Parts: sequence; C-alpha cells; structure tokens
Amino acid sequence: MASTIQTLDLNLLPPGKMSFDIVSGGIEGGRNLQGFGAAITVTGAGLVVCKYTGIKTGTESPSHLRYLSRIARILNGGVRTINVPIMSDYIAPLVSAFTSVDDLYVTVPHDDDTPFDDDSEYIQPTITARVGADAALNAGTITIILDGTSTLEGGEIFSIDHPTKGNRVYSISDIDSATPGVENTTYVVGIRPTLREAVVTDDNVNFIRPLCQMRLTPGTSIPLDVEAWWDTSAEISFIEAA
Amino acid sequence: MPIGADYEYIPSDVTAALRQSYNIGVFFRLALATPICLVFGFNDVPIKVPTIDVDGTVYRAGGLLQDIPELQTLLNGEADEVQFSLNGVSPEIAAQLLDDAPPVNGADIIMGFAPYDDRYQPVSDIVPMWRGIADIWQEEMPVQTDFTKPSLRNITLATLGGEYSRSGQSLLTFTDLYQQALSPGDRFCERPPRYYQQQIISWPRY
Repeated sequence: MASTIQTLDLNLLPPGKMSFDIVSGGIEGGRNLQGFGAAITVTGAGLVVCKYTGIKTGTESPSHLRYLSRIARILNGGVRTINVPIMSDYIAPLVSAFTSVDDLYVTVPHDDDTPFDDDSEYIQPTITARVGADAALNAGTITIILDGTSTLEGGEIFSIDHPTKGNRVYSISDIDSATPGVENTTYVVGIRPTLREAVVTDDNVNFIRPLCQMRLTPGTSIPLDVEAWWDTSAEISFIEAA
Repeated sequence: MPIGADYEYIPSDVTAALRQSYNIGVFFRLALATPICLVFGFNDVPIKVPTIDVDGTVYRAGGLLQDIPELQTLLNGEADEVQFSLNGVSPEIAAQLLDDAPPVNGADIIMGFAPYDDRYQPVSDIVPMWRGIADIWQEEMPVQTDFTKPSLRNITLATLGGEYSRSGQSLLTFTDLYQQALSPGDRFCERPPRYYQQQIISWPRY
C-alpha cells in the first residue's frame, strides 16, 4: 500500500536548534604555491541535510511525546520519507522584519467578508511566489515571480512541490536580475542544489516554511530517550530523499 | 588519426573551462539494451555522449564515487582489469540492476567527464575518456552486525581494457577439435599433438 507522505509537525516537536545545509562532496586537488589546497568537486550541486536538536516535548500534554515516538516508528531504519519544514522564517522575504510566526500567515474571510461560523478565517501565506519560466531538470538558474513588495537578496530558502519527487528545497545563491512588474517582481536567480525535476511556469514557489522530502540520516535513529519527569531533549537528523 | 593540436579529442571549450574550475561531473555508461547511464552525484543530469546517446538522455544520480585513485587508473587505461565500486546506490537503481540481472558480459562501458559551470550546468557533452568491456558485476550488501552504523550496499563491476575477458570461450588452445569448431576445415592445429614442448621444428625445405 502506498503510504502518503506526512509532514513533520514542528508545533508538536519544538526544536531548540536547527542546522540546515546543502553539502557537496569535494576532494582536495593538489596545492598551489602558497600551500593552499584546491578543491575538485565531482558530485554535483549537493544534497540537502537538516538537523533539529534540542527538541523539548515538555509535559504540557503526552501527545508531544507520543508524536516523537510515532515519528520514530515511521522513520527509523531510514526508509520512509517525511516532509520536513525548514524553519527559515527569519530569512524569508517578508515585507517587514520577522517578529513572530504571525508574520508568516494572514487570515482571509469569504468574499462577502464573513468568517466561518466559529469566527475563524482562511489562512494563507503572506508571501506568494511562482515560477516565471519553464526550466529543465538540473537547471541551476530559474525565474521566480515574487508577488507584493517583498524583495529577494539571495540566501533565501524555498521549496517547490514536484509532481514525481515531491517537495524539494532550494536556496538562492545569486540574483542575476530583478525586473519590477505590476504588484510583483520577476527575479532570475541561481539556485543550489540544481533542480531535482523540471518546473513549468506558474508552479508554486513556497518561501514560508519550505518543505523538503527527507529521510533519517543513515546510521541515526530516534530513541525515546527520557529523563525523570518525562523530560526529553531529542535530536532528529535528516537527509534529502533519493 | 592525427595526434596533437589539430585533432580536438577534448573540445577547446572544455579545456577552457577546466583552466578555470575543477568542478566536473563524472559519467558512466553501460551499453545494455537499455543503457545504464549514471552520473556520480546526487542529481539527475540531462546530458549525452555525442554520437552514442540520443537527445534527452538523462544520466541518473548514482551515488558517490568511492575511490578516485581507481578512476585515475581507469582514465590512464593502464589496468587490464579494473574493478570499481559504487557506494550509496539508490534503491531504484539497485532494483533496476537486480530485477533484470542483466548480462553485462561484453557490454561496452564508457567513462567520461564534463566540466560544470558555476551553476552546475554541464559546459559540454560528455567527453569519453575511457572505454572498457564489462566482465562481471556483483552486488554486495554485507550483513548488518552493528545497527548503529548504516548498512551499505555496494555494486562492483569488473571491467577490462584489454583482452582478458571471461567472455572468451575457454577452449583448449591448439587442439584440432576446437579449431574445427571455431573454423571448420582449418587444418592449422592438426599437428600439435605430434609435438612435445620445446621441440624445435624446422621449417619445411623444399
């Protein structure tokens, strides 16, 4: 039975620290006259790794610890994958500086300005962006149309939900051009890693809590490691799925 | 075939790119009915070996190259039999190999490279550097004894650059029986049974 891919719920597992990287293999290729080594990369544009440490489940509710245990059952062995949100909130291209999670989403009512009957409204990200031009598999340069008055500086992290490979995360390495339009800006940017799958115009580009389909780093597991009074400090280490 | 500057074995744009950067992709092609095209890395790369691959060929991510010195041996073409191993082969690729258990014996192998630019885009087509003949391959997944360490799956392919193939028939050489099987009517091996080792045979004088 094909299992649906879950999304890691960071609200239930609040991490104390995140470490995100795009690693690339390289070998040292001889030294120059000053004695510094030159790097030869032979493995392409890299692999996304992410590590959440210091996850305090607390004793507010046993659900947190149950969720940790459940995630361990899903992921241990490193076979099944899960969508991991990357907590890049602070460096997301928000219009104003990031202060709290509330800056990431806005609520919108129905078109006649009425909320649901419990007074809640729809939720949508404050930043929306889309792909501006088709790009082939392994492309290192893509076009992004960023709505609103937000700007890109480089270093932002975003994700694209590919039809086959699922959510994949990318980071902006270079900004080639920025063309202001009507209520949006069109950017041509260099990305790392290169596209895992071809994209077409108007594919959604997600800058808010970008998701990446990942699996547990081989050799690690998630033990249920608790101290007295159910205090825990878990660590989960992910690498990008194949 | 002229050797030297006038024969561009390595295209000039490739040499120009290699003067500036050491960012290269290493590619492997095993010419089965459905060729197995691998790139050593994490990402699939649409690229081709000119005149061999068709447009739109995608070299699939095959994992990390395990041992660079071995590859150098390959590139220099000095080794008669070279084994090289892939580590971290993705499950799909391994499954593709294991399901069919393809008869690799005698299949053409090309190892080549292409330089990448700053954005990891191949600058050229694959420049084939070494051509070999596949001999035998084996897949290895050692029993996992320590569960804290990752289990490894290795694929090893023995390849040849010379004439040491196991694909050759193991015939008893210079016996008339087998010579007749290979070339009916050929009497070249008719007489060897009459000789002993180190016998000096004088050429016929007429």
